[in-house]
Amino acid sequence: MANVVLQTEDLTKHYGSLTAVKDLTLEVHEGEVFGFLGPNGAGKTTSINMMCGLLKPDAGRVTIHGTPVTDADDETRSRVGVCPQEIVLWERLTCLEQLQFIGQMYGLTARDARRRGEELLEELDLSDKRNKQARTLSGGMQRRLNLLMALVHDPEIVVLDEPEAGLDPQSRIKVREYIQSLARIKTVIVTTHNMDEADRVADRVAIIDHGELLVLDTPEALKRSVGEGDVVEIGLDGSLDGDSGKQIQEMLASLVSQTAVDVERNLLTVRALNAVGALPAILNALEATGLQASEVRVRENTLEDVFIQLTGRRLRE
Amino acid sequence: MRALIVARKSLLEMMRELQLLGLIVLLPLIFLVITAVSYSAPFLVTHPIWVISPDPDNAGLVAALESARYANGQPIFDVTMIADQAAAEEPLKKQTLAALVVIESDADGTLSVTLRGDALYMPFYKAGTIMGRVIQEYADNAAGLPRIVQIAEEPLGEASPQNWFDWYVPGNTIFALMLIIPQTAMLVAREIRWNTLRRLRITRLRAGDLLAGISLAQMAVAVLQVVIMVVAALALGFQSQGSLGLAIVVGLAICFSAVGQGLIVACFVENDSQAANLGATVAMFQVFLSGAMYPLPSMTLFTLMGHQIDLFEIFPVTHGFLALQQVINYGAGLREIGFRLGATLLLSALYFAVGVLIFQRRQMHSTSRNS
Repeated sequence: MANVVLQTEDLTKHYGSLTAVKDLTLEVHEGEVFGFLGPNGAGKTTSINMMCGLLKPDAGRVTIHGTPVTDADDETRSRVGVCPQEIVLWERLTCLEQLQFIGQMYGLTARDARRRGEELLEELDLSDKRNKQARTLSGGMQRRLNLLMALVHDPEIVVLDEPEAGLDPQSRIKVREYIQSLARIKTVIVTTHNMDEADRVADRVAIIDHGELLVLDTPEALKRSVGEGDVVEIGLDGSLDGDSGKQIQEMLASLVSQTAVDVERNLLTVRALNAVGALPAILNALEATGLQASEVRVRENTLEDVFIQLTGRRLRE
Repeated sequence: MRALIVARKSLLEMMRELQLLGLIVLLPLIFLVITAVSYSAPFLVTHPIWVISPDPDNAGLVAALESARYANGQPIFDVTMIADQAAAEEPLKKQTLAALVVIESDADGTLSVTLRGDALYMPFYKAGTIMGRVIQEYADNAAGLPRIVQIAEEPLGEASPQNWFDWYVPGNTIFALMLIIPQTAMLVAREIRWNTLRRLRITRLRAGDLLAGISLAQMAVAVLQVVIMVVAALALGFQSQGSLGLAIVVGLAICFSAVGQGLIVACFVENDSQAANLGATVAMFQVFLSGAMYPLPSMTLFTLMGHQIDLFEIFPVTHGFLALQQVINYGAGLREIGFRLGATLLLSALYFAVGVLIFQRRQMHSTSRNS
């Protein structure tokens, strides 16, 4: 059985009449990358703020190795490193000064904090900026430095809140590779509203919406839960209405061993084990109804499909 | 130890921000220079007066005016005899002339002296007051009356302000020190706004370490401010009477209250400019009410240990100003300023404690709201 490093029990937080997090109960295992997936405002940041002791829950509790975060001693606090979603830096300190300062605040000696800071700057290609003030860095570099600030004291648990948000493609690749390099060495908790990011980096994903945990499992298991097979998305020329949509669904039901058919505006989505093999027949059937396919995409199930199945909405809505 | 690290970080940030340096160093220096230029004239002024005295019988009075002296031998009046009254109008209006004195004798021999001058020009009153005494002495002497009252003006001696600039230097220094309020508020508000305070809250840093670090940085600034102000004042002609070291001690005591008030201000603002505005308002309010800029009427509440306690002495800076003034204007030592320094420290500690309490409650605990 995996070693539980962080646990939440019935964690609840209200803001006035709004319930930001409701009865959140979960366990984070040692060495795993734990993904928190949900749309903006789902309660992800509120949850991790409670997990690291920045926010007081209205009910429930968070424990790290069995110690409640609210009563945590310095040692327990130092087990966690947090990279907030927004850039949190001292504008007029240099990259190395920031890392050395925060390292010393976590109890490292000046020499160790400096050495560790230099190592980290090297790892994320910021060595040549070590003596530059944070305000002079590009946004992508500031985000990379923001990430390093969570790691300078070598924490056991790293909490990353939307680590890829606002990153340029080059920085995104660097940060993604770096997070993957942390996996197994550390326990990583990542919040994101990006299904690809969660799918790619997380060992287990918790999908959260309106403050409630909807489901928690590995990405593969979650995707399997939606249905077996491929997904074919067909963009259509001409608009569909309710009647024609229903007619198409009935027609396709006899052509493929489909598991689901969705009509969404001008997009026909077919999920079936033999969806690719049946594609010519599907296109012929559409033509018979007077509709033309403008675009055909074949893809695997995604975590977005899981979210849609659970909530009836897309992640970005 | 962590407090020292925080202090170093705060000082680094301050040194790299010219705007902040300008606020805390240049602004008081500019005020000091303006004060030096405007108020360096000595208290004992030889007043230029023009005299019209057509009757030779009154030469004795003119001679009395010419020979009038301060206690240090300096002439009180610089007398110029003229004949045309109209010629005096322009210099009187331009305030280059303190007064026009017209001495006449009536037909019955009565001496008539008319003083003409600008009613809004303070030297006119000063010259007139002294002249009244000189004329009265002359008249008594002429009437053969014995001198029954001898009036002599004696300044407190060398250990006292020699001019208004000397008097204003402690006030200017207080102004510089009180700028620590907006400065602290700006620095702390920035930590809150940038969320760096939240980052620090999850480290091993304690609220006490953070506040001690901020205070240490501001105390270093306070020492720098007192030294810069006193040295600059000396360069501008200030005649200091006391110990710079003791002045720094008083400055540090005032600094405590300023940091405390800066923390309070920071808890109630949302950004740097609000911190600067509210902090400056709080600072200026106290600078003026302390009497550092101009003397205020006494509003005594009670007497404590032989000292009258006025309404505005609820502010530590009022006691701080009086202590600083006694040190650098009158050469007072630690014993003489003991009461004022004690009151400054006590009230400063109170203000600081309130600031720390509010700051801890509002900013350093796990909050009930997300930000």
